[in-house]
Amino acid sequence: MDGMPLDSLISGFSISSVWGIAKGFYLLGIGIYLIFAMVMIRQVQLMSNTLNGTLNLPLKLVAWVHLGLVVGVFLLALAAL
Amino acid sequence: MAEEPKEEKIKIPKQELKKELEQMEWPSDVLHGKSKVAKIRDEHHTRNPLAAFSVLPEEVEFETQDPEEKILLLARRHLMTNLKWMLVGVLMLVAPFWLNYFPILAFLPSRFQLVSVVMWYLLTIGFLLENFLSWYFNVYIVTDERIIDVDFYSLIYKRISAAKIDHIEDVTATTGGAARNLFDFGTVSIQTAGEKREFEFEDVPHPARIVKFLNLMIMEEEKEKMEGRIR
Repeated sequence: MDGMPLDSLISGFSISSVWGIAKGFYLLGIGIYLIFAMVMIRQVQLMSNTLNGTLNLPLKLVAWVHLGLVVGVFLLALAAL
Repeated sequence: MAEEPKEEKIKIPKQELKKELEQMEWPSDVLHGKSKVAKIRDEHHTRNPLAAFSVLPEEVEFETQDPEEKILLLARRHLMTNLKWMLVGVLMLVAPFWLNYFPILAFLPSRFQLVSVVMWYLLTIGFLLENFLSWYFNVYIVTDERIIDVDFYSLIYKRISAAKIDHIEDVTATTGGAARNLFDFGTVSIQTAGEKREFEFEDVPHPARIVKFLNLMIMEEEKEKMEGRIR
C-alpha cells in the first residue's frame, strides 16, 4: 500500500521550515509593533501641537529613538533569525 | 471591615457669591487696580515641567490660546494616580532577569531568545511612554478668562473643552478615600452655563485650593463686569 498523504507531509516538514515559520511570526509581530511606533510619533506630534511645553522636544526625541530601535530590531530579526 | 471613604465637598453657588460681592468692602489692593489675580501674576512661576499643580507655568502654550490670554494654573492628575503603571513598568523591566531561574524560553534557539528579550524591552518602553504621554498631556488649565479641559482619549483622538469664567455656576471639590485624603488630591466639578454643562478636573492636587482660586476668579470677573472692563 502507498504511504498516506499525511506521512509524506510530516516527513517533508523539516526543523528548518519550523523555525522559518517561527521567524515569519516574529517578523509579523515586530511589523505590527513598528506600525504602533509610527502612530506614536504622530500622537506625540499631535499632543505637542495641542500643548506646547518644555518637555515636547525630549518627548519627540524619545519617540523617534523608540521608532529607530524597533526598525533596528526588525532588521536584526530579518537578518539573524 | 473597610471604613466608608470620607467625602469632603466644598460647594460655592454663584448666587451666594454675587450677594457676597455686593456686600463686601474691596481690599485696597483691589480698589487700587492691583487685584488678587493680578498679584498672582506677579507670583513666582512653577518651574518643574513635571509638576501636577503648576502656578503660572513657564513656556507653556495651548492650541486655542488667545495671544493676550495668560495661563494662571495648569493641573494634571496627581502623581499617585500613576503608581499602578509605574509598578507594572518596573516589573516588566526586571522580568527578563527571572529567565535565569525560570527558563521558559529555553526551547528556542539563542538568536530567537535574544530577539524576544529585546522586543520585550521595547514593549516595556512603549508601555511606559504611552502612559506617560497620557498623564502629561491630559491637563486642566485655568487662564485669566477661561477654564480649559484637554483630553486625549486614545492614540489620536483629542477633545478640548473650554468655558468662560463668568459662565461658571457651581464649583465643587470632592475628596474621598484614604489615599486622596493623605496626599490631598480629588476631583473638582464645575457646572457651567455653556454648551458643556459640567467640567471635571479629575484627581487633581489641592482641590480645595483650586476651588478657592476659581472663586476668586469668578469674583474678579464680576468686578470687571461691574466696572465695564470686559475683554
